[in-house]
Amino acid sequence: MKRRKFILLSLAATGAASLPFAGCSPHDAPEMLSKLCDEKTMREIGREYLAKHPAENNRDALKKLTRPADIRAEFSNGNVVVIKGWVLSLTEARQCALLTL
Amino acid sequence: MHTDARTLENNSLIEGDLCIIGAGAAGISMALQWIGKPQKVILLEGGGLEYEPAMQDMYKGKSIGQPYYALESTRLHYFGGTTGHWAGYCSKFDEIDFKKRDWVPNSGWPISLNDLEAYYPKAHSLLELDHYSYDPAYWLQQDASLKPLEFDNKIVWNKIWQFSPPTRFGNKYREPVLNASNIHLLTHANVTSIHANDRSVKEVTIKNLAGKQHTVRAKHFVLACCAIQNARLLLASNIGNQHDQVGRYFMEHLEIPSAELHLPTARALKFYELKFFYTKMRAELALSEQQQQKLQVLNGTAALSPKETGQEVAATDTPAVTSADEHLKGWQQSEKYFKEGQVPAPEFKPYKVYDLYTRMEQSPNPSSRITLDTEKDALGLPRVILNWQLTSLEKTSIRKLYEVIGQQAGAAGIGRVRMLEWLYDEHDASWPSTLGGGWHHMGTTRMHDDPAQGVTDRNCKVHGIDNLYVAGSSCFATGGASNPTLTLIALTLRLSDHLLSMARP
Repeated sequence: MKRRKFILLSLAATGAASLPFAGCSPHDAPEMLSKLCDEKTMREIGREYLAKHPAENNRDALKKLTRPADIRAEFSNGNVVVIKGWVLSLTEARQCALLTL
Repeated sequence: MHTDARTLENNSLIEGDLCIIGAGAAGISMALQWIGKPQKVILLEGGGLEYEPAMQDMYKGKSIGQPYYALESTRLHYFGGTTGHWAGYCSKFDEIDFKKRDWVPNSGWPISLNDLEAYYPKAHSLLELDHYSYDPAYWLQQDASLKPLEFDNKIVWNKIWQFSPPTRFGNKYREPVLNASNIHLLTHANVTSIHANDRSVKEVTIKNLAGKQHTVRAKHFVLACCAIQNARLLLASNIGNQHDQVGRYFMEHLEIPSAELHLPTARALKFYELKFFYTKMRAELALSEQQQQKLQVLNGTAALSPKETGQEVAATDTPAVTSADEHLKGWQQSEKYFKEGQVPAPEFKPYKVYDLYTRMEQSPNPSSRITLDTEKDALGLPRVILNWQLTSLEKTSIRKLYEVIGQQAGAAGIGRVRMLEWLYDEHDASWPSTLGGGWHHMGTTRMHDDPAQGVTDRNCKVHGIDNLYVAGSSCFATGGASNPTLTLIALTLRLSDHLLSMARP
């Protein structure tokens, strides 16, 4: 998947027509991960996340959970998970999970 | 003054005021402090002035427990000792390294960092280091091209390393030692037994491969042969071991490729990069004391190197590795190339991915130890068996180090950390084959006020023996995050001052 499609999917997940991550630093939009790894890796992260959190293995549920988020604040607050070695914010991991559903 | 002990008439008696056993970083550092003093100092070196395979063979031993390097590869047995092939990394210990930490069993020194502060500058100078400052703010002011990563320094801070040329003590300090009229260097003078009555050492026996045996007497003796050899000699002579502490608490630094730092745009990180022979200073990422306490982890750092070069990975061999001879020749060749101008000046290019390479202290572990083998070397001294043991705290500490660095990298918008596969499972206590060490041997005659918990006291004196001391990293109670050379020399200089104060009329 191209990076642009990943961003669009994330936008769709929020149900927002406008930029969903208002309040975020533009440098820390969820697109950060798409600059660092390829689609295959993000899907692997997503699958691993869902394996560890089977209750979230539902597209609608995940959509609600990946509402607009301040990614940097998540890191600051310790809302992080380690998936396949990647130290990610919870929202990032959920966005990867959405890719697989 | 120098004498090759092979040339002495058999059964010679050599007498002095102070006998230093071992002429490596510790032994030579101490001897230099006594030049010009009224006391006669005997400096014993088991090897010669240059590397000899037959002498190196005496450092062979067995290794059981956690896989480790061949013991004779990690230390050098000639004048100058292991400075002959060390890499020059220097950093001060941190305050926390000396403190009792209730999450680190057997931690705590009887001295503090403050007790060494007066000696670090002199140690720094002996190692031919740059300006004496380990404050990152100082270095950032010196060079505008140095840019730190934007971590919160209260959580992840930049611990500074400086790089010795590396100073080869056998070359750099040969002339002053040999020319000092009150320092008598004896080479091919292997101590094979230490003779003590109840409370004091009377004399030591020295032997060599020429079949000669001599006796050395002094008022005070200092063991300065490195952690493995110091323990070996005490065990072989059954001295200082009334509480079965000698040889225990063998510590190394765990050095291992651990993670990657991924950046959204390529950045040159000169502040963190190491270019051998050119770099005088660089930073490594460390957790603050408060974070270590909060997370209940050991002290350690993450060094960065561009993914393309993998330089940090190449810098430390894995256990199945080169002989001391090959390693020595490798360094000599590299230094020759540098002097001939064949090592190009470094460029600091921007990269998107950096390898993160850990150096982590190990939790002091009494089961990690040196014992004696039944096999003996050519001079009849029992060889050693190293049983390197680790605890689960080491791996937990490494994982948490990268969790925090990853968390902070995300919070600061720097990028993302990806741990390597061996760290994926937080419940997996096993180690990969890439686990190596820094050849930093510490702790086998650890210092403690209580003789039941250590071999030496706060002045590095062997408990129960009035005139026997130990110099070097074998006295370390914990390993810290720093390479040991700078601190072992500072500790040795402190011991030297202590002995000098006792020697004054």
